[in-house]
Amino acid sequence: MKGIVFTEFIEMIDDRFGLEVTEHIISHSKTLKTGGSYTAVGTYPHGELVEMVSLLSQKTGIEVKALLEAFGEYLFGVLVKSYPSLMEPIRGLFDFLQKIEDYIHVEVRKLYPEAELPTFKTALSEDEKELTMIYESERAMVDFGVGLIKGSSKHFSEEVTISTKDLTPDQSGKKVEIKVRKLN
Amino acid sequence: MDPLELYKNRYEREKVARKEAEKLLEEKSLELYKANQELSILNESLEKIVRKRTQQLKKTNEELEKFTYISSHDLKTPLRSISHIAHWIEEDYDTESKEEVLKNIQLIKSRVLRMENLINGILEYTKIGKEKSVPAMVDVEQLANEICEYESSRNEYTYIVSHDLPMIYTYRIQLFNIFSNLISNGIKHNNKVEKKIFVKCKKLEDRLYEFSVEDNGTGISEMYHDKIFDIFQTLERKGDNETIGVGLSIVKKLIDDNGGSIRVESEKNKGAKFIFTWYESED
Repeated sequence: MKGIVFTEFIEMIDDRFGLEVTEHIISHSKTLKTGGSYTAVGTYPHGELVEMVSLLSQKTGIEVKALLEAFGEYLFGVLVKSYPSLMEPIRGLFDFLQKIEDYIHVEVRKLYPEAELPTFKTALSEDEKELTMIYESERAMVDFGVGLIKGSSKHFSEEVTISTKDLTPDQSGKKVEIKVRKLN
Repeated sequence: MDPLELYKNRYEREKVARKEAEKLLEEKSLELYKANQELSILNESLEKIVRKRTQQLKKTNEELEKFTYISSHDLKTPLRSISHIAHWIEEDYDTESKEEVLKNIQLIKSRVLRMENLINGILEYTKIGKEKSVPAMVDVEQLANEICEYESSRNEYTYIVSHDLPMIYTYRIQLFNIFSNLISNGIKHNNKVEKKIFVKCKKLEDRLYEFSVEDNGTGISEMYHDKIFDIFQTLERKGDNETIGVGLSIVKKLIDDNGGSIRVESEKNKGAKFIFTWYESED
């Protein structure tokens, strides 16, 4: 997983819960290969983020799902500031969500050929009010994805409701249907 | 936790992260440098290709212009004759005898036939290279002998095909066409009692051969050495329906298309030697 996800996760903990919480999580983690030293340009195992989110949940009493969503929302703001040119041709929320697969991820792969990205197949309803997205990833982090969608909804000032349905028989979260409906 | 300890830990982690970032940056810079070098090399070779293609295009354009000019000019000549003859018939309709009119009509027919031959020549010329054939092993000595034997059934002459003629991997039909044109020209344009043809070969480098077809015929003045390869250029009297001057232009085009070149060494009344280079095809 790209280093920017880790450095921004730590920034978020610093901002919202303080340095002591960050220290607690890093010192209690057992899988961090670099001992919690992350650089935005590096690449790190996805399991390290899962462990830190889980420890943060234990420490703060906030559900993992809520933490991942909050982090997704937070990270979207950071990414928009870091890569403004990527957003230039985008005309709105649904346009953005429909372009993740064929535009955003294509550009990301140019910068980071080794990036392992989830897939998002999309279908727009006839009245163009609802977008159905099929999320697929071995990492099963749809809540993080939902957070990113929430962040983008705020960015484009388009209010939406988001619902998810796990499509796997064992509820692994590796294939999830996300329905994004515009309120206005 | 002691705040100092907290910041110290953070500082240590940031230091490690910074070193890691610097290492990655260094690796990326190196990658970029290498990619840049590869791009420069690629760019250079692309420029070479563009230059070569531009040259080829320029040459093709020039040839096309020349071809259009010559063919339209030569087609106009019989057309103009037809118009003149028709005009005569019209003018002298009342006074001319029936025989005279029929003679003029015969003249028109012969001009029409010439035009038809010219048009067929254009079609034949433009067809070159359109029909793709596959290269195969060709015994050039055998091929030259076959052509010479065939020609000897139509004309009396002696021929010597050198044993140096190689066995090469190439387009048989094209090479056959070239030798056939050169050999029959050597016999056709020959006023000697004992007509002779010599076919020879010299290997210039790997995959590159220089073939020659020499005759002891009427020869060609130096001033025509380039002109004879243009379409419809014939040194024979115009109006001779058998000679329309397409053969050598086809020979030249076939050789050009294969990357080679053709030239003639000759003097008036001292025979002619056509020398051309031919590349063997790659496997």
